[in-house]
Amino acid sequence: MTDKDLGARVRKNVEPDWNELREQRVLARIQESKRARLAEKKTPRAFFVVAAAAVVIAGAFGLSRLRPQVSPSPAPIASVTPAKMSLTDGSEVALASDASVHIDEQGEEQVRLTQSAGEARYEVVPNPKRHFSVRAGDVTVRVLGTAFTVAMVKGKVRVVVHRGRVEVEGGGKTTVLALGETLEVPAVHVPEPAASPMPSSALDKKPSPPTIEALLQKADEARAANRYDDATTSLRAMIASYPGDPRVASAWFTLGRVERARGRQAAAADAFAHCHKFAPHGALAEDAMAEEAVSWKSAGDSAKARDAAKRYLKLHPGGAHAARMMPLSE
Amino acid sequence: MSDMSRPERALSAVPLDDATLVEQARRGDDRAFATLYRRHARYVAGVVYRVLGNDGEVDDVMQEAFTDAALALDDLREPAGFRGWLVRIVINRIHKRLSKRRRFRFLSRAIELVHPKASDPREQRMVDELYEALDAIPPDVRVPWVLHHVEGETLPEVAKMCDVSLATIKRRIADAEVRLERRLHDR
Repeated sequence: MTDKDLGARVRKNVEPDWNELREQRVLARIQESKRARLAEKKTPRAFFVVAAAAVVIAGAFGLSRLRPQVSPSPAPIASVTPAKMSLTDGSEVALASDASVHIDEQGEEQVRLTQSAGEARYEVVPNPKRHFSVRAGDVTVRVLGTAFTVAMVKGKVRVVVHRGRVEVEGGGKTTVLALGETLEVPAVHVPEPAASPMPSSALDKKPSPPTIEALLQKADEARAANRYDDATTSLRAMIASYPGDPRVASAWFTLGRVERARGRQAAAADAFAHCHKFAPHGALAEDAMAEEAVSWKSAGDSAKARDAAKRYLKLHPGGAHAARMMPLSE
Repeated sequence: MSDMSRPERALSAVPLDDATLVEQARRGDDRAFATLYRRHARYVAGVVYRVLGNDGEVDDVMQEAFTDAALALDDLREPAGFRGWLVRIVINRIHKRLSKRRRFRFLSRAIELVHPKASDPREQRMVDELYEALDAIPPDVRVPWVLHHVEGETLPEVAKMCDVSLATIKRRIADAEVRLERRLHDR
């Protein structure tokens, strides 16, 4: 047998067990590792020396890391190529590639956004009649007509004011920041321990919630074994327990697929819509919007399918699913 | 109105080519990079699996190589040649793994090497024997042999992918052929 024949037989017989779920999971790993490597690049060695010294000094003086600290000069936030999100009131959000921001409410009297990851710069049109706020973890930034940046880095939320003033509620207190001021607050607020009648041994025995990795694995195993109810339970537990984790987008997407496999098309459409809402600029956003349209169609709701397909075609006229969306949009 | 708009819409639905997606990804568009990834992931996963012979390493190599690619897009001189450039990055990563594997060969022998699973069980023996022979030859001759004979890439393409001259690649493939024949016939 020639090498060519041998090679052809191998090519025919050796194929990786590659599927959409695996493809998705590897994509999520790539994005995570890209973010990590970029963060490493952006952090010069000198920063580590200064940071280490700061940690030692902070430790020596017994400073609580849960207390927000205002510094008079803005800490540099790395410049990145942004994508723009335009709001109906003319305000704009410049999103770094790792940012995830979604709109909770957008009305004449109130605009509420949630930033769940990365770095975003907000240019807010002044309007005393409208309340504008951004929630990042347990931190809320209320805008008083201004431009500012919110960066979520390693468990902290950093707010830098470029123009005007903002009010930041987080870390157990409220702080007003003016032009050029920076504030860093833990993304998750841990309240001061209150006196508890419960003995410490009882507290020690309190079971810790399953990790996100454990929930993901459980969902994958259940899905592989066609135990869709279990997969749904694990995915919903993950979404509820780790609402700020970037992997939630992937969980919503997988949930959509599981619901579809169970024949619950409307629930699938809802999960895909959540995936898009959670990370409108994420890697799964385009696919989620297309799958939402397909699921609504399968659920027999042509009007919702048409809406979703139209939204898709408006945002992705040359997208990978455009051909599938066209008949649904008509 | 609708008659006018239909051809335009049909045209706009043509999927974007690699060069356009590379340009968009360079400007920070993560969706464009995700589209490039999806377009090439299955092919790359197949190459990685067939060259390395171990499904357990495919995801890691994919992650490493696509991350390298995402961070080095600005260095890509011809955006239309994204796939070839990507495979070069993949081959680099595979080389590192195979070299490491050879350095710890005494250990891999102790724990028994895992060979790819053939889709046709009647071909499993052939696959086992070939990968056992491939595991015994150096990466710089193994990789071009697989790319040429298994993946069906032409010699100039393999030379590009391995970043060496055409003459070198011919020599390496010939070397691999001799070594493999000896090992397979010794059985």
